[in-house]
Amino acid sequence: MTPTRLLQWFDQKGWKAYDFQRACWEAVLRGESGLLCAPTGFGKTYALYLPLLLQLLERGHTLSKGQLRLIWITPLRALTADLEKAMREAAASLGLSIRIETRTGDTDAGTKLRQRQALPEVLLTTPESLNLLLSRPGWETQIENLSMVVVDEWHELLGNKRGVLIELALAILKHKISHLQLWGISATIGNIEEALAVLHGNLNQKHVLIQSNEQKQLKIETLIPEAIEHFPWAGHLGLKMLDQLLPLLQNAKTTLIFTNTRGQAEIWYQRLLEREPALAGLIAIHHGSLDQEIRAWVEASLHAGKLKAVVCTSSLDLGVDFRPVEQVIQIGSPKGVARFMQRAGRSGHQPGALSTIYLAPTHALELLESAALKSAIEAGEFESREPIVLAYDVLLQFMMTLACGGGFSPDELFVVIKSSFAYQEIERQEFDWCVNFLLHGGKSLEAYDEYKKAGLIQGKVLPANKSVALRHRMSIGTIVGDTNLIIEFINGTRLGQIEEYFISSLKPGDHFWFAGRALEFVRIREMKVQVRKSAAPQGKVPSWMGGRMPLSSQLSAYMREKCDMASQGLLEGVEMASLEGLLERQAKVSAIPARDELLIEYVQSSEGYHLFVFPFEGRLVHEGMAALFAYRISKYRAISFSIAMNDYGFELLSDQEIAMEESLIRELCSTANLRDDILQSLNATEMARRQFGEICRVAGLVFQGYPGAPIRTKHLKASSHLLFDVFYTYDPQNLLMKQALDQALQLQLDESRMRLALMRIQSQKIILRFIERPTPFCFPIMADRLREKMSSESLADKLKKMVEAAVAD
Amino acid sequence: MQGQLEFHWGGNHWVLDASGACYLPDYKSLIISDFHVGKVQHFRKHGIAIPIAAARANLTKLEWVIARYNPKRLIFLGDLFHSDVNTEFELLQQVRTVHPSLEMLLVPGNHDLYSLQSQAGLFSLTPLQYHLGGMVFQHLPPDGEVVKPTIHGHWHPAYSLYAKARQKTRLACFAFSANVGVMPAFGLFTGKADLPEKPKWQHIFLLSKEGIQHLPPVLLR
Repeated sequence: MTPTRLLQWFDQKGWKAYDFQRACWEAVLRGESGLLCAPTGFGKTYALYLPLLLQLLERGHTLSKGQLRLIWITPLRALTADLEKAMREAAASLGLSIRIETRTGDTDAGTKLRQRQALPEVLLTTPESLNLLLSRPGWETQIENLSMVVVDEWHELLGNKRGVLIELALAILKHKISHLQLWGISATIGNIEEALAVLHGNLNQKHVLIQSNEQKQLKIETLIPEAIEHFPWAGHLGLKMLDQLLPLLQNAKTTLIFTNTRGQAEIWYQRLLEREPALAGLIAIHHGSLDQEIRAWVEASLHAGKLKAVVCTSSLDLGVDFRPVEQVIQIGSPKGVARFMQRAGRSGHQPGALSTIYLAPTHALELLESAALKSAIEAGEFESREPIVLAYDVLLQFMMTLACGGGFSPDELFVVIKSSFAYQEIERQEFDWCVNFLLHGGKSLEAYDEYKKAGLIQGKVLPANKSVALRHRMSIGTIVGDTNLIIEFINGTRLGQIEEYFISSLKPGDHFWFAGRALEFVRIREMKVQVRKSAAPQGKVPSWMGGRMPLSSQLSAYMREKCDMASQGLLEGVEMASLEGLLERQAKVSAIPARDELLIEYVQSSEGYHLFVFPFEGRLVHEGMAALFAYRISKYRAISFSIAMNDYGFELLSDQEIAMEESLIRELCSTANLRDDILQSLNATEMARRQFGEICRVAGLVFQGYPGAPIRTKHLKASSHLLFDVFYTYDPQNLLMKQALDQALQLQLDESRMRLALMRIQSQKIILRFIERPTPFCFPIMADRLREKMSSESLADKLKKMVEAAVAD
Repeated sequence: MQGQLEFHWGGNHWVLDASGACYLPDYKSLIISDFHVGKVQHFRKHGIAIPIAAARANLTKLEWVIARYNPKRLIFLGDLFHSDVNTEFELLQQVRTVHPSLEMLLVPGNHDLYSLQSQAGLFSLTPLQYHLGGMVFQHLPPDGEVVKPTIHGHWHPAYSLYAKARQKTRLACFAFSANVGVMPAFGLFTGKADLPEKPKWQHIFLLSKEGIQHLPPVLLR
């Protein structure tokens, strides 16, 4: 088969096929699998979808209608609507009458029912909905004629547990259909070869990497605060830039304003309207907690060019094609090159168009980050996405999914699992532990046990009863947060979702902001928060957990370079030049560390003794180093610390003086006994505890409940903290506990990056400065109220000190 | 710090135990609140694999305090049971068998309503308010005027300590106002909730791994 017909079709449309499109067409028609890496806006969909249409056209007469041929997986539900439309148009234009439908969590019940009877030829879906498909008996028959699976935006899924969920689903599909063609689509990332390998697992099949040579034209401009001398040293909202940003909106038909958190988006939306009431009706807000209908309305208005601007979060990061968007404004550091480029690509989506992005800092040192970001982009340094391996929680979830979907035989599944990248190293013993955990709930041979989840019937693992299966289907997926409550008006109109802990801080009658509106909290009824409109000008803004991304190691390295240059007085570029006053001050009252130096600042305040260390390694590494330092100091004496960190450095705050000298610092930075010391430090346990929450939800140990459920499900609620304590005490050998610790060390602490950082520090000169008051470097850390703690003092000692302090007052 | 503390309140002599139980020596009565027996099994029955050793440990804890005080009477101050009847109660039955002369009373709590009927014989059920030594024992906090000194459970109370250098510790506690006392949850697999600010607390006793500690009055908020 040749792609001649596709070329003709392109000609008719007046388009020219890119080299990568032709390469894909040929590879797909040859029956190959692979990965396509090309910038957004160059027609990646057509590269992989059109040859499938061609196959259908040419073989069409031999195939029966109404059977699934193509599964197209996207990470975001928002992406499916556009894709569906483009795919339908192409099919119609080529004279092919097939069903092309979406199946996500938002699909209505009627469509779902119809799809359960007969799937369409082309199914657009998410990783979670694909797994749901596998949880219904009879799925094997439904996929009999499947010939191709495409995973769109693979770079977004690689590196998190949703990616693992995909790997497992693909492994079982390939096991059932030997000639299945499998393709991924990815943006540029640092480890594209690995991305290809992860997608295809370790089956010895031929797969190709197709990379486009097309370059996106990009214009990046940092907004330099007009009153730089008054620009704040700390903060993350960036509202000081509001007045400078407003006029920019006039330069473009439509602007996307990206913020880093949902709370920040709410605040910006509110302030933009306050400052410029004429924007009412012309701007909108979009984030992941808003109700699907609200988001759909915003997206439709964006398409139609009805909006001047949309304040959004990562919810609009991905490849939706909004043609009217001509420029992007990023508020606050994007913390990574890849994320920044992705957001920049949201503007000028047409092939060959210019992408324009403005970067608005939220505090002074972010100008240094902007300078680092620009250098990193110039050098083409993209971050890698490290794939997750041996996630037992995802495996347990997947096993239960297959159990619900007609059952599985452990021996057969073991072979399938081993063929995936994520589990190629799994031992039979570990696999059996997982099966056993489903069947018996851990090592339990107690006579009085009533554990019921799955049973073994004629060699197949099946769910113990219908309600277990129902609960499992309701909790499939790995994107998890705190318990979410639905927010709605009293008349039932939904606004979105909010985390329970925020609502628990409100009393009826309190006012808050959500979905860009002022609301009054009325009551909670059946997992729903009922609200009414409020006229109050003031109100709380919800803060959602998470969302604080660490500075990538690529950007961190460039930050250190910028510092090194600043230490020599070299201020290249507008960003660095604008910081002249601030850097001079830092150099005068403390120091700016050169490449071979580590800066440490020590200051006494009314709160106690503050030790600041500036490795410039990103907040995760700093968190681990801070805990390590605290632990190593506390080995010598009983002492308590509170710990804070940002992307530049960390702080240890204690009520006791620490005798600071170079020899002590050298000892604290030693890599000897590193792993033991990390494990011993309270923080390793604390971090494992935090990881355990997600693991519990993925593995099905925490059930989130469902609206309108009978009251008894309430008795199935336990916080993951409580579960952690119970497992920690009574079943520490549990593989999920092992996973929690591994995740804490690898993902959160980033042990290997920390080891490298400590080794680098060992060769550095230590610059210890006793300072009188906070410097531009340490101020943002000091201002951070979110703190960890670490203590080797007894409660009695702490109480004694507290009494002394209280009496002294 | 120690495993138990003596205390005078409501006209009676008390021994507060670091386990969260308390003992009234004058009446040879041991009091335990919010035990939540059956919680582990309840989860397991619904396919959530809480380590079963936790169920056994909960009962071991009970056996241990009984051995320590050798009471004549054991008063469960509500929420003895977590949910429906399940096999974990057999463990409680074993305690009954080992101490045949021990009088076991249950002051009913909100969780107990599901499972009371079938447990006759294991313990005697009291009214919602049980009177002893001129004091009232009930599961839920009193609403309305408090006439006699009243002890309740239900809250699973915890108290937060704030120290210099932004340090915070949160611990389960006993709390006493002039006429209301609240007991911590005794069950191992139970959560904690912040102690409300009211009524005005006069004495707080903190439970930690190190033992029980009377919060110095100067630190009361």
